[in-house]
Amino acid sequence: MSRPALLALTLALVVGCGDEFTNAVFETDQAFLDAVPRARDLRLNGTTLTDGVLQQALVGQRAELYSITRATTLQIDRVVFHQLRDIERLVDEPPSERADDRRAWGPFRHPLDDFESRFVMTRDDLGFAYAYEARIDDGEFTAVIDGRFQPEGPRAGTGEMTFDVADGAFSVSYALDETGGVDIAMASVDGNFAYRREADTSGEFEMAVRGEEGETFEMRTRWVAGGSGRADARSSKNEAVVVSECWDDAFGRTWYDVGLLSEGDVETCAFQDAALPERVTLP
Amino acid sequence: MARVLAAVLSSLLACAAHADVRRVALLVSHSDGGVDTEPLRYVERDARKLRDVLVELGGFEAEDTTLLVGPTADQVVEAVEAVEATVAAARAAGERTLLLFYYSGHAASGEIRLGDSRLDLRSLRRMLSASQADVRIGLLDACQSGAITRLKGGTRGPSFVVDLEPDRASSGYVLITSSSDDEASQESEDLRGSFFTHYLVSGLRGAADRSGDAQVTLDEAYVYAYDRTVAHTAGTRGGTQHPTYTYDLQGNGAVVLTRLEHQGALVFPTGAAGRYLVYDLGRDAVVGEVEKPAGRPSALAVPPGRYAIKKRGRDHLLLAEVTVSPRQRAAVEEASFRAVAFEDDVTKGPTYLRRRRELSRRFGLSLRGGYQAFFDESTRDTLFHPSAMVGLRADATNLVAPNVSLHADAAFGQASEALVAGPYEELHPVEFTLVVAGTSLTYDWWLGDALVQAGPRFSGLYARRRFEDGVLPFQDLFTFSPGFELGAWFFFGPVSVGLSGRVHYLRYATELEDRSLGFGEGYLSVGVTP
Repeated sequence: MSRPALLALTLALVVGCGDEFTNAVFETDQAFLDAVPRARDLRLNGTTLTDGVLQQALVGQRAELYSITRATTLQIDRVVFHQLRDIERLVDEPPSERADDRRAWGPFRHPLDDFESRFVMTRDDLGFAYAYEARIDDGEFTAVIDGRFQPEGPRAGTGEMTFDVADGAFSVSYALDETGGVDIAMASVDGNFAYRREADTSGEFEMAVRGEEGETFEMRTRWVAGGSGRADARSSKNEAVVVSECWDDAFGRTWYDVGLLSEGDVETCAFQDAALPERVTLP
Repeated sequence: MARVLAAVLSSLLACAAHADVRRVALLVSHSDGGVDTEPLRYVERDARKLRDVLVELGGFEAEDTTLLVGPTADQVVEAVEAVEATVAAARAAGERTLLLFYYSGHAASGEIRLGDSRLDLRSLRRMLSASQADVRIGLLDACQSGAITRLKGGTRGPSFVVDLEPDRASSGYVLITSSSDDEASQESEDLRGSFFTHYLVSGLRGAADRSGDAQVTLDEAYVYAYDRTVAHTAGTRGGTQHPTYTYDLQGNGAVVLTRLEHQGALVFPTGAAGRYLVYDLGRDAVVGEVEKPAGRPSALAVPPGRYAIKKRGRDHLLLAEVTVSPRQRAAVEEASFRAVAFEDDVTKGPTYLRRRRELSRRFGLSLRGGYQAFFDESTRDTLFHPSAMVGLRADATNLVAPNVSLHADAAFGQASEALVAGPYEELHPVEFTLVVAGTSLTYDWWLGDALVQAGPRFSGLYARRRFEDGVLPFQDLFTFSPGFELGAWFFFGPVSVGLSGRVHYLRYATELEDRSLGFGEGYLSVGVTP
């Protein structure tokens, strides 16, 4: 018997066979779970959806551009956050189907829902693909969310997902870094948005939306940890005018400037200089 | 008249011998003959048997007998010199003396082989010739020992007749050897000693007393030993063994070696016929043998004790047990014999039977129950669950080599467990099945009726698990595992009970992990060894 053959026989005798006798399928659940898009990561706002009333403001009153920012982010959350919470509720339970590179949770039907939903993940060389699917009665499952996630470390990576919403697709690209920072870019028929939140909760939000008359409204909002911040906005109707507003950590207006009209003290602003959106535009 | 009376008294005293002759013996045994020789098993036992009969029946004081076991040639020479000093002292005190030298061991090429040392037969003969003892008797139970008698016209024959001078007490020397100069001296498993010494001792105990005068003379003992040795070695693999003798004796004749009067004895009645082997149950020793035709009684003098007497039939074995009290002449009645199986042949003795059991090729089968568990707790909880095992084991003992056993076994085990795994910590009921089949090669140590076995082992392991909730399809694994086994067996006739334990190495290699695991098995077994 040749030496390589003898070596192979020895290895076979020592190793045997039985790759499938393993708990890997249970243990690798965690890898799938780490790739699930989480509401806590991709949520833009931390408050409830009922708190977002737009109102005119004076110094000392609730800041107006802050309220617009908040209302907009809540609106985005309305699309994204609730769907992701549904996914989280599904993956809180063990998978209903396991295979080496596939997990499926559900179908699940809440007693008060008229549909049932499921979440399916597959793993390939590039990362994970996932789909949040729903169906009514016994119809075919259709994807509500299609997405991918490419892990780049513990709780870190890049992903994108597309929401199939009533008024068209809403796409989200996101990047999670290991420090806890989140970077999100969103595009919808209503406009484009970018969101950045640092680990210390400071951040910024950019938006470029089209108004009812076809004009473009751009706004960039920045805030520091604690909540005080500044927003600068302009409209394509009058690009020479930049509306700026600062607020304190109780979100009360401390300074307002709209060119000729200004009130409050700019020195109270968390950010002294105006900054308009750099990441989002509209054609 | 006075002269005639003196002659008669002298003759009587010479014949009675014991009271007025200082008898001194040097007995030497050596089981090892150095290179190219096989160790002898019974030489020491032979020497002790002869010494016992000399002290019991031969008028030798125990303190006048010296037994050397495994000495060098120099030590033998020193012992001869010491004995000679005793003889000289006795002679100086006016005592007549008889010196008996006995050697049991290896000899070849004219030399006694004492381990790696040698003692030339010529030197030995010179020492005996030069002794101051009135009568010197040399008894050599060794291969080619006849060379010592051939040195000076030794004779290979059934009898020697001493040319007696009727008015003189015996003096001179006699040399008797167990074999001729070109023959092997053989030991017998059955007799648990050499043929020659066995028959010599048997003769001294009375089997050689042809004259029926209750004393055994040197020539009677020699003739008896010669006849029996020749007869019973004729069919052996070593070939017929012919004892030889040479002598240079003067005097009025008979050198009485043992006296049987007033001794306890086993008496074989006139009507009894056959060959009887006598075994001392208390001392686990073959005492002697009587072979007699019907028509005359025969007796074997023995110390008090309990004896088994074996009589071989053509196709069966007969055993009788007889107790001999001090000075009692206990009859061995034919009616007391019963047929027995070989295993019950107590004359083989526990040592022999044990040795036979230790070395014989045997096959056994055992049923076993036990338990297996992996050493690592996590592995026990999540992969290979501890399980009760039942199995069979087949043993082949001494098949490969003496004291080595080859075993083949298989065991099956099953356990129902709840597997907790993964981030969800789900509880999955699992039915776990394990089949282990392997072979072990053990070295065997006998400790009385207990057998300890230890050795390496190699087994195949098949594991399978079924998830009762169907969360996964069934999984299985087959792998090989080296290990080590240690066991102890206790024998109760053909039935044995064993406790054994094993430790195994298992390499657990999957696509995701490659780990070294260990597990142990413990079994209680009940087996039969036909």
